[in-house]
Amino acid sequence: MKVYHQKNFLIGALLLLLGVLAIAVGIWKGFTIYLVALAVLLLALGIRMLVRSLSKADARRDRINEQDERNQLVLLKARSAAFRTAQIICAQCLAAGLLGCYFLWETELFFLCFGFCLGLGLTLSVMRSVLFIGFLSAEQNT
Amino acid sequence: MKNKVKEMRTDAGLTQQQLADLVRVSARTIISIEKGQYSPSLMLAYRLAVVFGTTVEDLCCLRENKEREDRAFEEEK
Repeated sequence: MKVYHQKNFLIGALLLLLGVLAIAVGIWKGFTIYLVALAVLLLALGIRMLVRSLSKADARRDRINEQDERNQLVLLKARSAAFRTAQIICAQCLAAGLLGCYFLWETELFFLCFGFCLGLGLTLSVMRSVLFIGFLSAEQNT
Repeated sequence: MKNKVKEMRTDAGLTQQQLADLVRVSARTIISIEKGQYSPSLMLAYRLAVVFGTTVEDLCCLRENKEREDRAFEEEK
């Protein structure tokens, strides 16, 4: 039995372990419908990943999908959009917090909202700038 | 961007999955290229050209696409 895709094998093993843990929790604390559904889902996904990692053809197909240039571009676009959305949500939360504090006149809430949103927004902006400079430098060095 | 991938693939009697396996990409990428929704990288375009026994210029209709883009650029000015 040979492992053709190590990453999928490890993910499958981890999911299987989590499924077994869910069953153990169920035995210890009692089963609920959500716990049973979660255990079944984890076990099913874990077994599927393990089987795929042990199949030469499936592992090859998975590797091609991972390295596929269009898939990588789509993933990059999705991550970029998620980042932009996080920045927008942060700005909206800040605005909502400020408006709420103005009308409610809760100074503690004001500083909490303002501090959190400003901190998160600044962190995201700094991260974006640092990564941008990093990628540019990496390209120039190669 | 216009290309001749679908035309050449059908002439060669290949399915999208078979072509994808030959050039080491997913079938979804071949579908997107044929629909003109995705432009292949230089290496992928070259691999496709080698499979069909043609040139990248011919496969990707580079002359036509260049003329179309130049016309669009002139109209915008």
